[in-house]
Formats: sequence, C-alpha cells, structure tokens
Amino acid sequence: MIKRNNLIKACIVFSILLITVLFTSCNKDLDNLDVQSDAEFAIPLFHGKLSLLDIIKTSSDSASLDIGSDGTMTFHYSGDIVSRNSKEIYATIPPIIASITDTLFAFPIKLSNNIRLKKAFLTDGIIGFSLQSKHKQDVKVKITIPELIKNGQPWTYTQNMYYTGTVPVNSIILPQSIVGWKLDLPGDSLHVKYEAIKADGSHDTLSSLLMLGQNLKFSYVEGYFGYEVFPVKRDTIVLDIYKNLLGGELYFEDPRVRITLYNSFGFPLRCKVNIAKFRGNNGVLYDLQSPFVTNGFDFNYPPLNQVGKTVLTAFDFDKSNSNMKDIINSSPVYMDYQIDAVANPDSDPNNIGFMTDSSTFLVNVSVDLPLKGRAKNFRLDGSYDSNFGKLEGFTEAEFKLITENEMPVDMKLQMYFVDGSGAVLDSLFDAERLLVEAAPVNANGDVTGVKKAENYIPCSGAKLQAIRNCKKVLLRTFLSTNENGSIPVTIKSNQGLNVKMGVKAKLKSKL
Amino acid sequence: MKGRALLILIALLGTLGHLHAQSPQYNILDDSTGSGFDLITDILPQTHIRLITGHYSATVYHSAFSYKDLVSSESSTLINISSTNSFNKLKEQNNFLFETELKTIGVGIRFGKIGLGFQHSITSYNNLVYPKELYGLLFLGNAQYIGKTVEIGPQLNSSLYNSFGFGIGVDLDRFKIAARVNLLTGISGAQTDKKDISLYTDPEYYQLTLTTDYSIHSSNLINLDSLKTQNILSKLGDFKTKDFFSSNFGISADLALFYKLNNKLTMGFGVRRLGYLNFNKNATLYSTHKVIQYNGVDISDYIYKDSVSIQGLLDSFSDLVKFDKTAQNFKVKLYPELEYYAKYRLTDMISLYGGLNFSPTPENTYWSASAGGSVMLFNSLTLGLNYIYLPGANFNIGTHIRWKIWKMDVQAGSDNILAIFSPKNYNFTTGYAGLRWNF
Repeated sequence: MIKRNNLIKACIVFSILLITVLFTSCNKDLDNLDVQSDAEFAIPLFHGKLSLLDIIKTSSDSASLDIGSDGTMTFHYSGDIVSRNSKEIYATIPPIIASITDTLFAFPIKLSNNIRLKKAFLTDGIIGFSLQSKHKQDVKVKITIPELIKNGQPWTYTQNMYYTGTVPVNSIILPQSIVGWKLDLPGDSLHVKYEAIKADGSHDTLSSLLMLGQNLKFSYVEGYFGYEVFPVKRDTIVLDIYKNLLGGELYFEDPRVRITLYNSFGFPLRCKVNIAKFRGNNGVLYDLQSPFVTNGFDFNYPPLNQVGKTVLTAFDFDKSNSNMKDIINSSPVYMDYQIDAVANPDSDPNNIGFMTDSSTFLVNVSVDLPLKGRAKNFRLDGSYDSNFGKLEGFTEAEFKLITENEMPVDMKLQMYFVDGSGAVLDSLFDAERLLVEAAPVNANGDVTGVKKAENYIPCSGAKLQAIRNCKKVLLRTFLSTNENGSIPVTIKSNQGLNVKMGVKAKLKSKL
Repeated sequence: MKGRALLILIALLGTLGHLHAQSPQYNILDDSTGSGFDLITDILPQTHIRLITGHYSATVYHSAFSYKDLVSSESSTLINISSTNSFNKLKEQNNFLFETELKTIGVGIRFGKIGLGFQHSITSYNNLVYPKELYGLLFLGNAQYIGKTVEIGPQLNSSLYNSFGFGIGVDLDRFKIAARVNLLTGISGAQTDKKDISLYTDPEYYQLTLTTDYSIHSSNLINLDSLKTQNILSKLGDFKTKDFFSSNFGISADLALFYKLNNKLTMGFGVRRLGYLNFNKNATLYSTHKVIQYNGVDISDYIYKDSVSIQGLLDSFSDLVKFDKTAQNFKVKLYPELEYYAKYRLTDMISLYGGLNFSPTPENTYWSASAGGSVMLFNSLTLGLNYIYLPGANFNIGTHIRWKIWKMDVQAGSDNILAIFSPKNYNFTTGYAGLRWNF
C-alpha cells in the first residue's frame, strides 16, 4: 500500500511540480538575488501634532511647567523643599524644679530659646511636691497654683502630714497629671501658694516645700519667642534648559528667583539670603544683587486670632528689584543658594506670637522662567539611537514635509548620521535648513495665526547608505523667534506644531 | 509581496525554457480523424485497442510580454527589470495561463461502430488575470499614481484535480462522435469571488486609501492569514497522499465531432472541460471589505522616545491589510475550451490544416488561429509544421512529430518551437509528449 501510494504521489507530484515547486522552491535559489527595478513608492510616514507641552514634559529633566489660566507657561526649576516644625525648632521644655520658700511664691518660667511664655495648653506633663514639717502635731497642707487653670479653677491639692512622735515629718505628693490644664501667665512668673494648717487650727509654714514639674508638653504656646536664626540647608538648582545650549542666544523677558514660604508659626520671620550665586555657562559666578539680598525680606505669619492657619509668602527677585535678568540671560547652568529664616528679627519683646505643636514652615527656592522672550539661533542638540535596517533596498528618496506652526519660533534643522565609532557618515543637508517658519505675532508678541510650510528634502543614494549604516542620529536644531530673534514673543501651552511627512522612494528590492 | 509576485512572474516566464512545447488542441498529425482533443482517436481507435501509457502536455501563456521584455539584464546575483518597458506592453487586463495535464493511463476499445474508453489524468489549470495598474504598482511603485485611484484587484481561477473519464464513441462512417464524462476529485483550488481593490495616493503627503471589496476562495492552495508570512502559496510538502483523493468532487464533460465531407476534406469540432468542482476540504473564504486609511504613524509615538526605528513604522502599514477568514465550501467553474478545424488531404503524403481555438472565461476569451500542414515521410513517421496567431504572441511556428514503431505510437511537438531554443523571447508555448499503444 505504501508503495502504491508513493507511486500515485510521484505521478501527481510530477504534474504539480511545475506549479508549486517553481514558485516556492525558487525562494531558496534566489536567496541572494537582487532584483532591480525603477519602482518609486510614495508612502506617508508621520503625522500628528507636536505639542509643546508634551515635548517640554518629556525632554526636561528637572523643570516642571506651570501653566497659567491664559495658557502662558513658566519653566519652574525648583530646589529642595525644606520644612521645619516646632519640635525641631524648640526643644522640649525643661523640667521645672522650684523650692517654695514662702506661702506665696513666684518664680519665672524659663524655657529654652528665650521664650517668654504667656499662655500654654498642656498636652502632657506631671507635677509633684515634697513636703517637710517640724511641727509636733498634724499639719494639713493645701497647695494652689493660680496660673494653672482648668475649667476656670486653679490647680489645688491638699495633703495631710501626720505627726508620729518624731520630727521632721516628711511627705510627698505623688506626681499628678496636668494634661488638659492651661497655663495662663499674665506676668512672666508662675505662683505657688500654700496653706499649712496645724491641728490646733493655727496657720504656719513648712520647713521645706519642693515642686517638680516635668515632661511638660504644649499643644499651644503663646508668648515672645525671642530672636532666633533657623538655617535652611544649602542647595543647588540645576537649570537644564541651557544644558544643551551650544550656541546662539536665548533671552527671557521676565525671569525670577522665587522664594516661597508656607508658614503657620505665629511670629515674625524674616528671610536672610546668605548665598545666591549662579554659575554661568562659561564658568563665571554671578551673585544675585538686590537690596532684598542685603536687607532680607519679611515672611507673612498668621496673627493671634488665626491660630492653625498657614499663610503664604512668595517673594520674587526679578528684573525690577535685582540683576536677575542679566544673570539668567548669561545662560547659567545652576544656582547655589543658602538662606536663613530669622524669628523676631527686630527683637521686640512686645511681639507676642504663638506656635502650636503642629506649627511648620516650608520654604522653597525656585528659578522661574516664564516663556516669554526671544531666541536667535538657539542651538539644541539631541542624540538618538537609530535602526534604519528596513530601509534596505531604497536607492533614492525625497521626503515631503508639511508643517503648520502655531509657535512663534523658526526652526532650522540639521541631521548627522554617525557610525558606531562616532564618525559622521553624512548629513541630511549641506547646511542647516529652515524647515519650520514662525507663526505671526502682534506687537505684544502674542501669536495671531498659523504658519504653513511645505518642504521637499531630497536624499541621495549616498545619504541613504549613510542612514542605513548609522547607529546614531544627531539632531541639531536652531531656534529663533520672529524676525531673527528681535521680537520678544509669548509661547503658550496650547501651541504646537502640526507635522505631516511622506516620502517618495526608489526601491531596489531583494527577494 | 512584490518579491513574491515577481517570483511568480519570472517562474512562469522561465518555464518557457523548461517545457517542451506541445499543443493538444493543434494536433495536426492524427490519422484521418483530426484532433478533437484526441478524444475520438482515444475512444474510437482505428485498431481494436488503444492504450495510453503516459502523455504530458503543457501550455504557458502571458498575454503581454516575454521574459526578455521583463528582464533587461541578469547575472547570478542581480536581475534588472525593465519595468517601464514591460509596463508599456501591458493591456488594461492581462493574463497568465498555465495549464498542464498528465494522462497517466487510458484505454480505448472499439467494438465495431462503437468505442468505449477510460482515462485517468491529473490536470492543473491556472488562470491569473491582473490589471495593468497592479503590475505598475508592484514594479513601478505608486508614485506614478499620486492623486489617482487605481484598480489593482487580481483574479485567479486555479484548480488541480484528478479526472476519471468514461467515454463512448460512435463511428457513422462519414460522421463520428465521441463523448466523455469525467468524475473529478479536487486536490487544490482557488477562485476569486469579488475583485475590487483600489488604491488612492493622496498628493498631500502620500496618504494611502485602500478600498477593498475582495474575496477569494481557497482550498489547500493559498494562505492569506497574514501577508507577512512567507507561505502564501502552498508548498509541495504541504500535500499529503490523502489530499489527492479528497471529497472535493466534481464533474466535467468532453465532446468531439468529426465529419468527412469527401476524401479530401474533413473537419471537426470539439469542446472539453465543461463542468465544475466543489471544494469542501480546507475550504476557506478570505475576504476583505473595508476602507483602510493609512496616514503614517502618529509622530507622538516616536518623537518622545530616545530612539528612532523605521521597523515599527513599516510594520504598522503591513498590519492594516488583513483578510477575514471563514470556512466556506465553494465551487470552481472549469473554463471550457472549444476547437474547430478543417483538414485537406492534398496527396497521400501531404495534408493541409487550419483551425480556430476558443476558451471563454469570465474575464476574457482566449482565442487563436492556426494553419499548417503535415508530411508523411514513411508509413511510420509523420512531421507537421504550423503557424499560430495568438493575441499578444503573434509569431509561433509549431512543429510536430509522430513515430510509429511496432505497436508503439509516440507523439511529441510544440506550437512554438522557437521558444524551445530561445525561451526568453517568447510569451507563449505549448508542449506535449506521449506514448500510446495500438493493438
């Protein structure tokens, strides 16, 4: 059966051989066969809108982009956000140890940082007493602290000391929690009053009365907090917009260094700028110069009737109060800064302020570059790994590029094709070529229309060969605002570049 | 896609060099009965029994140009295509015809005036019709069609089948008639159902709009699951023995008439391959009915990356053209062939011959005209020479030989002998060779 099947199959194979074998087995024979024809194909390559917003978001390393309600955009290069809270700034209130030497005794509450306490709400803490009597009879002792108040009543404690035949009679009042009590110190001192009533009903004194208050913590403190300097750590802001700047000019109309403080401490704070330097693209250091650098400036703070509120201060060093514009337009690559926050800078003890256990200030320094300005041949270089292996077979091409530019920026382009060793194999143009023309603007630099352009880009066989062999593509772009960078223009978030590209390519195919 | 199409084209044209031409329809050597596609002579033999022990024939025809017209120069590694030259020779619709038949065995027995016959054969018939613009698109590119819509849908009628024929003939002295009914089993087949594919290239930046209303049936022949595959056509290895005797049944009929007007003049009429084939094994309908707009890739997918790759761009275009695939039985209509001829016996040794041949298809009608003569040199050897006019291939000199040795009857010939010596110059040839036995 097998033989018969094979015979039948052989006969049929003979018949269909010419149909199937010739078609299919030819693949093997023609593996290395090139077929050259005069074919020219036209195909679309790209289309779509290059949103400026997306490009910036993608390409910028450290900048964020702030977009105003009118679409204006601002590069925002931010330093670290530094926060300081009340626990960091003011150490734990030290234990209070007092020897009460009279039936009405006053002593100042001394806290660290020169705080002069006026009022405080206690969230933790204990208070205890040690008593000694030399009276040879029982004594009843009633202790009152008038400034320690709860529900309108002062803190009071009564302790009986029993005479057992020997003197002195010692006694202690075990630590009592004072959580929830309020210290109200109209003056600067805390008073302790006691009565020692002997068994015969007469009043007398104790030979010794010691008070210990410890672990005192407050949810709210009111008083004068003294002159204190709170350093904010030194930091650097990298301005990578100039990272790829290899030539040309880029001017921003209104650059600024912004110091922002969110503050919920209720006392005066002043910003003191210790270091504010920019390093230029050329390595030169530029100091930020301004009266506000010399003298500092005040931060806002919440008043006594706005406990718990956070207030914002945003102070700008800009072209009106500093040399900021000159500095930025020198293409700096980073800013080095260090500032202090100074509490009660005027040392006025009448400045009664407050803080709570959640009081905080957050300070941030940023360099903000609103996208209004002008550029002239502002050069940007980019490098891309490439793989154009599928271009094999194409012998000549002509690209057609259609652009509709909504941005007030001319774009000249050059592209270099680089091999694995870094050698430039060829370039797309003999010299950079203007491919995208700026959208028209009015006198204010606002865009008033769209600029359409159509370009044909021939690509010879030699260039295509270079493209095929290249491992990297170096893209060099030159940007200029309208009229060769002479007009300041505003770039907005809704602007972009509509791009359509197709190619007509001659093909030498390989089977 | 282009490479495969070119392969097919070259292979078809190249077969001119491999086939020894033969024309069953222009067989001018038969004894007194003429041709009639051998039907009358095989069913109503002049002897008692006639055996067929192998007969192979083939026809290759391209309606526009030859291999030489297509290929301007070639080396072992490079073929230069004369795209423009060959394109200019094309008509609006063009044909590849490739037909082969292998008669494996057959017998005809005469019982007086009646003859009975049986024959097994394997036939391959392939007729591809393609518009000029399809060729232009593949080999000249679509750049020439910017701003235009071009129709590019090809049509294919292809079948490969076994034929088991049972024939009967009657000899009424001056008039002979023979008929054969063939039971068919299909091995593979394909037939275009809808043929509309058009491509528009927008002048703006060459956006492509492909509009398709195209469908093609296939059984064991074409795989359009993905155009990226290298196996669009079935390979020999894809076939199994059981495929050769499938349940793809069909039927066809052949008919031949012969009339002897007088001792000098005879004439005949023949028609064959009237029938159809039903395919139900691996029967698939590939169809596409859509408007595909390709505008290139969205640049945002690429511009925000650190690398540039053209591969994804081109792949995205290939992904657009996809066929829907459904299992569906189908019927392949066999394209019939008609022949009319007349033969004049000038002397006992010399005869003159003239004939017409038609093959109507839904797309077009093949036709040809032939004139020639034969010389019987000895009782055992006959030589024939004829000229054939065929549109698109208008100079064909045919030669034929018949040699009888003892009981053996060997026939061979071609309708375009020049194609054998210079195959690249011609776009038409036939060839045949067979061995019969007369007892």
